Amino acid sequence: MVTEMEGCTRNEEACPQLLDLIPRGRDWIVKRDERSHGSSEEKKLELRLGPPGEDWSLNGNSRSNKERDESLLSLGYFSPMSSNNNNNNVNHNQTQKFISPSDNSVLSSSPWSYQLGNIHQQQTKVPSFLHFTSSSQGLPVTPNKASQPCCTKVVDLQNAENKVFSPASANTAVPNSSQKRTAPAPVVGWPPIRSFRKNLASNSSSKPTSESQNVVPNKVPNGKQVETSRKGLFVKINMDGVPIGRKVDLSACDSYENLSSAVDELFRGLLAGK
Amino acid sequence: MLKMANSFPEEVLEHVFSFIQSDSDRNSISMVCKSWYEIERWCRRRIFIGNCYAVSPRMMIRRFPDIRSIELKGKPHFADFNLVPEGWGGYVHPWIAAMADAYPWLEEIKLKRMVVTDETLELIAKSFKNFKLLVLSSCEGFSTDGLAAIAANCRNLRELDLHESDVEDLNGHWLSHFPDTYTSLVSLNIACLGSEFSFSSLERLVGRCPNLKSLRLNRTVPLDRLANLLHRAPQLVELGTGACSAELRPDLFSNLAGSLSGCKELKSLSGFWDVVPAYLPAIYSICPGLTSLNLSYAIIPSPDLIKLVSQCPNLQRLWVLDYIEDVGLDALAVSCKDLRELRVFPSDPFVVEPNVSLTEQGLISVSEGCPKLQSVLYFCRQMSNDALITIARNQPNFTCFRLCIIEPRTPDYLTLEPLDVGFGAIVEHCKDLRRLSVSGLLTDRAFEYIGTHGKKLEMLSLAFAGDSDLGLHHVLSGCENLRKLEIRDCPFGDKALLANAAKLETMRSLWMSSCSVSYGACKLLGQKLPRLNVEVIDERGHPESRPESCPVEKLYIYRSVAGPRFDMPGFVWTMDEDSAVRVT
Repeated sequence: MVTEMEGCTRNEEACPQLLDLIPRGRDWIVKRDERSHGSSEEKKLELRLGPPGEDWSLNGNSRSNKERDESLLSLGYFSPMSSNNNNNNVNHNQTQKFISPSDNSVLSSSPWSYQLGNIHQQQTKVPSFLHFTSSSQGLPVTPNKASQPCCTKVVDLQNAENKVFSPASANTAVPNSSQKRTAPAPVVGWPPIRSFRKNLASNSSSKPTSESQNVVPNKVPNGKQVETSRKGLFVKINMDGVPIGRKVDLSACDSYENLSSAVDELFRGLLAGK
Repeated sequence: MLKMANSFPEEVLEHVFSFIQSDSDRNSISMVCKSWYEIERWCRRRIFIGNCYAVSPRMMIRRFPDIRSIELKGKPHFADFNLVPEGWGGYVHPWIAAMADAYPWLEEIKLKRMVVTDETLELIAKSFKNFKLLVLSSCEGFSTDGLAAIAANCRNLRELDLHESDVEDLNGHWLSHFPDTYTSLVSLNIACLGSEFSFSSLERLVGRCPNLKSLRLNRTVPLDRLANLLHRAPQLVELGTGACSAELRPDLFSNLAGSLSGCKELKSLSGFWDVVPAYLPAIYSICPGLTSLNLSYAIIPSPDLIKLVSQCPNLQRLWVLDYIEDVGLDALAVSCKDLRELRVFPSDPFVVEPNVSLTEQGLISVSEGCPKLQSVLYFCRQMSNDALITIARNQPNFTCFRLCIIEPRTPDYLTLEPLDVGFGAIVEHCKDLRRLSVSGLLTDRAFEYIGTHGKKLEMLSLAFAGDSDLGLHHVLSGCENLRKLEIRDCPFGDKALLANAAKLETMRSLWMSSCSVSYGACKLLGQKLPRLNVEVIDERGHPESRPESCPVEKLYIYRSVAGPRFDMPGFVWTMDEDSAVRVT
């Protein structure tokens, strides 16, 4: 709709103040009107509004390709330091290190800005991209497994602790071929299939039979079976004291353990919030 | 030019404008000058609103006083996959109530992902005197009682489409509420309904509506009833069958084959619930005319599917379960040279081990054999960069490419590398790509490719992908035409979002769930960008009860000229200029 209404309704005001944040090769330092400069709380947040530094600009025509490649390298695509990060312990130390006071000078200008020289200095440790404004907002770096040489995984450990991520996503954040074939815990909404299709799928647990293979089509469920399976697969569960009911797909759970963990998963967030 | 245009009488311009159907062209017209704006708004008859919270009914009515057709969308797309909690919103009633007063001549209502009550349907039924079309696509909240009100009162109804709606199915009597004098039905889609209804009512209805072109039945209609219905409606262009699970009987077979062959106009077939493959040859006679075949509810083994598609040289659209397998897609590539759209759904999506032999090879075959292929939705269990590169080179015409590798973060199965290069090839070669869904193991580099090449991308779905904020930054700063972005379980957070805050105002919406966006960043966005509605959805309780740095569960951001909405449930909080004050 907005497209239709833009003509009359959107022209009356000036551009939003944060338009300045779009990288256009201009100075990325945010300028805002006076009233927005209030509490120290707000100033802290404004810091994080800071631009990602010119090295981030995708239109960085001013820089040579070589420089750009260097900066991208430092962001961890083919990160040479991954082999140095052998375990979480090392990583933990580094995390603490790069939020140490010595980095404050960088942070105070912009969390994104860094000198190219810095990259080389730090390349054996942590990509300088991953400087953070404060320890609580930091995204600690999880080192690559040796089997994953081509990407640096960034995992928000705080998230993981808070179980904001579903267990499946947390577990697989650093994929590992040995985990590949284990049946994943059901993740809500994945694979992305409408619920009526999930119900349909449950009717087809066995491979279909073909008349052309001269098999009598007796495995096709009769109407009655279809009726029950189609109606009964999504069950809404209400937990005492929790105002919001949740639906669970019984067809996604083939054992008590699976069902139990699925239900637990559905309500964990709600209970944690209480 | 402008001077000349101004010298036309309004009536002339109005007549000229009436030939312009496209919404965006009408928008452009309205921006030419004040007088065009005025003329255009008075003669605008159709309106599309992609987000019911982006504008208020009052504002719409004030600007466009004489709308006849409205299309309105509610919940975010991820609601389809249970990611939007029940009770989130998307209520259509305020819109209908406002339009009931303002647009007595409203003829068409199309709703998608909205909550529609029986009360609303009754209001529609009694308010719009010349009501003709009701499409409820993926809607919920109403029952067959509401449908009965529509049937009983809308004498000029041409189309009733309940496409994939969640209807409380009280009973099948509603269909008999169409009066005996009612003959205007053109299209009826009740495939989503569960309960049986009076077949004799349906037969009489079908028999007395000479313009009926599209009839999509539900699973309860048995095969022997279908032949009777078809005899009454040989003019049908589109048919959705009921269940086809009857035991194979020669008389039933010949009856069905005979009635189908009488439908010379049939172009589209769907349904086939629980089909017994032995019945499929009954449709062979009409196959040469078919352009659309939806077999995604039908469990049909590959050999039978191969025979079927081989009979359909003019097929443009095929939806099918993965039982078709690679060998079936090979056959499709050989037989169906006109294919434009292919969707392959998983028959057993929750099992990691493949239950069928469907791999990347099938998609490669189709991309090689079907030169007109534009749109793909493909669920599979393995993919490789080489395959994606081949597909991209074979088929630069893609406008829609949605690939779901069922297990999250699956790498290239040959090299165990991320699929960055493969998806990079897709966006690089397919210059007209409008819609993209990615899956498998992807690093930020994939998003660099997408941002660099995806200049026409309008909708992008991301799941379990990326390494850092940089990935999201590439997308937001690079995809110039992006309108809808939906992200789940990706490590994207505050920096990318805040650095591209202004981009959000150019988009219809952004959904992020299980990502790393902090509550503090949401508050900041809401305060600094008053034209955005920044809604935090958190079922753990008020986000203020946690540290500001704590990531929010779900975040839905959309632009709006209507301000914050007022129908938020207890688990949704909107971040606006005074939210900081209000929540403390």
